[in-house]
Amino acid sequence: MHPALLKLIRLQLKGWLRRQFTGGSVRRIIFSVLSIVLLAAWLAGTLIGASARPPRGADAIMATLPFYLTLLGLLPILLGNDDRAIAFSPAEIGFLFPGPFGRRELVLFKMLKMAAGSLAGAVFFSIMLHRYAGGFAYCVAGSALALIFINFSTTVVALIRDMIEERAYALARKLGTLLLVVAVVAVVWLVRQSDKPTTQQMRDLADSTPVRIALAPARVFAHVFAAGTPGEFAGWVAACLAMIAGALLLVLTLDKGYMEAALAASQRRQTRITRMVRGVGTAADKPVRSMQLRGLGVLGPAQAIVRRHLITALRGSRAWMLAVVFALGYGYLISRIMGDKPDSPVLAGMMPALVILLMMLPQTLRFDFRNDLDHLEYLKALPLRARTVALAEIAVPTVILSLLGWAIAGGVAAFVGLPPSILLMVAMAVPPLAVWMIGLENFVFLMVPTRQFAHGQAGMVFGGRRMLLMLARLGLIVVGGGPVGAVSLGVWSATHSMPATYLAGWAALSLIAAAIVLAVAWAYARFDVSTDMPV
Amino acid sequence: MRAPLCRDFLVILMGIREWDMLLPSRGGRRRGGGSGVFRLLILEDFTKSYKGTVAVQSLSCSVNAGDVLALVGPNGAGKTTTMRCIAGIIPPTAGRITVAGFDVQRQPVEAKSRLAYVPDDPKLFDALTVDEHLEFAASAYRVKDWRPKAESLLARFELAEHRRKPAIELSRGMRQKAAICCAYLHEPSLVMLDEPLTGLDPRGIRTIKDTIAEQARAGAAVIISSHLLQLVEDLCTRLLILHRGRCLFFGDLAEARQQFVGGAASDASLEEVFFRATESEAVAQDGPGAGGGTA
Repeated sequence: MHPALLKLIRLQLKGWLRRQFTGGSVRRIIFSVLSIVLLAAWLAGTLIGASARPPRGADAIMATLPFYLTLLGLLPILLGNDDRAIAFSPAEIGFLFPGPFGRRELVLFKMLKMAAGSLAGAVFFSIMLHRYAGGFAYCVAGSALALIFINFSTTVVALIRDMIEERAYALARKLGTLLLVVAVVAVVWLVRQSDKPTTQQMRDLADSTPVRIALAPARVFAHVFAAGTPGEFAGWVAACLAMIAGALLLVLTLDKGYMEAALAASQRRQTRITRMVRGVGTAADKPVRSMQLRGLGVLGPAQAIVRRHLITALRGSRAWMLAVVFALGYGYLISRIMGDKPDSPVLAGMMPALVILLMMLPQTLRFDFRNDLDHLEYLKALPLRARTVALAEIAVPTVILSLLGWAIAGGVAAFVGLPPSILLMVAMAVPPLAVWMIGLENFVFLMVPTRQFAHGQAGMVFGGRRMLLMLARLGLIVVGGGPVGAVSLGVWSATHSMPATYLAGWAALSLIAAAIVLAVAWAYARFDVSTDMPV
Repeated sequence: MRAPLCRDFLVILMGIREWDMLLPSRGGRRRGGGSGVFRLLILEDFTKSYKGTVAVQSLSCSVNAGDVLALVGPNGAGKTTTMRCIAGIIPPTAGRITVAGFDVQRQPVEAKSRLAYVPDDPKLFDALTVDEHLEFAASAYRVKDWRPKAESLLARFELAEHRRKPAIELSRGMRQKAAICCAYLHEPSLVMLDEPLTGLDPRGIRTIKDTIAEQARAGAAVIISSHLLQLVEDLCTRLLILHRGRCLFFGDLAEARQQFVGGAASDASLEEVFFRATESEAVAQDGPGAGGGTA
């Protein structure tokens, strides 16, 4: 490989490390340090927790791991987007494509970077999964080799896709997905039919000839995890390396003409990343139809902001609706599990709904300031008061969250059988709760503005920062919930009346919601686009 | 055709692959050029299609050492596609592209070693500083003793004080200048700049214009694609007008004035020539002399 490409990898690593700790404001550096400390503490906790439990035996590992590895390898091929070919970044296209590098040198460069990324990912995986291996080193090696092979195989498939007709590939992918779904359903059905323990059934299934053939590549990698002796480990590592070399050879053989496809794929990918960095999401990168939204005129001068967010929400509805469906499915599952306990049907229904409403959906419904980071300068120039802008900004996600909250409450009532009075109380509580949650998200965002998605630059800090902000949000929820609880408790102590207690709590909640709107308006007014804008 | 034929002859007889070794300069560039006989870029019947859409159709032209070619045309005319194909970023659908005597498709590394391409809104590596970009460029093009040259470029483009800033912290204009510094570092024979003047301050525009003229005087061929016609008018020695992928005109500005404005208005601006050429749909669609792009 051209020495300049190796130098580029070295310079990029150096630049990445430099970005973790230098540059930017003091606040950024403090955040970075705190984030890394938090992340390190979490990883250490996970490592200690996993070490405390007994390791799995080789048989148990070989019975289950090949399934997971095969699934891990198939998912990106079957469900991944169309841009998984050798995707170059715009800078790589700008500097490397017209540069004096051979086609294969560039492919090797990307494969090397991919392998380095897999190695980093493997260390992360191993911290959590090392109980499922003969030793920590075995786990790191097995994870790294498996990830490298999966990535290379995905690239091979992407290159083959570039060679065959698009329609034929789409058909093959659909058939493959269908086969996988049928196989999973069949396995689940067979498992449910049998009385044997699940591990034993998995072992029996793994021993059947068709499954052995399908899982053969994954079994080689699983052997690295399950190796009992260094000699055995070295042998299986050599086998894995041979498979990786084969995949790499295939990539190099099939690479002819990849540059144009890579250019198109990279442009699409970059567009999507840009949208994600701006917080818009990935849904609307296809042609859209115009929307006529009537009746928003009553909102006066704020209608333009509301209209814009509403259109974005409706156009990207597929993405957040999927998140909602997932959340509902999860909530239903939890309510079924908790519903098995005879005395807690209400709690069983309420808790998951509350968790979804409080923690998950507000993160998904970003049709507010979080989506407007790059438009804040424009918003500031509008002849609108800060309070009007704040209300208009949080209106759309609040309404959507309220509607979803009511739907969840209705669903829970249907499944678990909530009394009408409880249902009414929940329905009344949903709107102020929604204002509070969305307002809180926006307040934290405006006080500590961050991009919704980190692209390459500060991945480690970004992960820790998200955790830190999550903790801050939880803290603010507790701070806000305190007065509501105190008021309710006071009224209950004085009256012992449930309606009075509820109404007092509801009033306190509404006041908190109003206060958070004012807090958002204040945070927006103090936001200085010249200094507070994150990179 | 003299130079390529001569090169092929030498290659066959003597096994000499490095045609530029015979030229009296380093970096494959013929200094003091402008004689008009050494063609650094040759496009022969170049065509590029995307899934049935013809982006550029049967374009044939050549650019000599010392020439500054203004590549102009409305949005979607095929300017960037042409530049990308010349730079070897995307392959042509048909035809042949030769840079400094090397076929871009058959000898891409040799051809690319002799060219530099700066796209519009150049993207740099976010985490790398300006200095590190130059270090990488020097390594990529195997430029020895690159530091003094880099220092000079940084000073010229007023980047010296920003040299240790990561690219992500640079403004668009600074990124543009940094990319041009990287492009000039290896003294390319063919320089292609896509919209190089957009987003720059007046001093930056002046500097880039000066350096383009210097590159040409030093024997490089320069291609500039720009919509700022007034700004490139005094720079260009040749003009290529593209419209909907077809070549409307290739030649000297004086010839363009003659063809599109008429002899009476010999002082017509490039802008006037451009409007006359592109507004004439009939010429673009049907004119056998204009279409096809053979020059």
